[in-house]
Amino acid sequence: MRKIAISVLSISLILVFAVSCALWKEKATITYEGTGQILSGVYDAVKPACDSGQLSVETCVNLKDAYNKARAAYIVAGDTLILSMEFEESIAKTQDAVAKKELQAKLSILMKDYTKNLNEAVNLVREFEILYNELGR
Amino acid sequence: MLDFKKVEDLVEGVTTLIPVVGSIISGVVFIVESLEGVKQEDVEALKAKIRKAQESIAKWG
Repeated sequence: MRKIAISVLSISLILVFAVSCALWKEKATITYEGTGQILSGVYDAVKPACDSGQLSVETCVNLKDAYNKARAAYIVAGDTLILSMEFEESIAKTQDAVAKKELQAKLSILMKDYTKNLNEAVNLVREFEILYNELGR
Repeated sequence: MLDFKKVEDLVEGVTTLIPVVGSIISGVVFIVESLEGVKQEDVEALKAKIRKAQESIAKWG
């Protein structure tokens, strides 16, 4: 189940950039919002279980650490996405061909950073292997 | 003999796990369905959506 979920998420992320460059900003925003919904849902499900003592302290410490790291990566990914959109607007306004090329190269780096950070946030799901271990106790 | 403590732990674990899996599925469904009907939007509106999404992620303090 875990592997399937990770595969589906990875496919969704790849689709956004691989299928077409048209409407990339809209597609990236949708993926970003969807990933946020997953993170919020996971938090809403796990935190009450930890607060009520349903899960062990050790498990909760690990899950809390994983969640907060994922949250930080998610916020950085959002900032990078906003910056990428602003970069693209600058590229459209620039007349100088050399400057345009430089800006495009920088935009490409920004988009790679965005994908890297969003994938890091998605990797939170991997940490939920801890929950499976809890089930086996 | 049936270990009731183990059964109770298992039920509690599954009770936590089901909403986790549910959120993953609903997030993926949101992405797939929204991508199908994607249309051009104003950049400022997109930035506002991103900021709203950032704010909606609570810190586990």
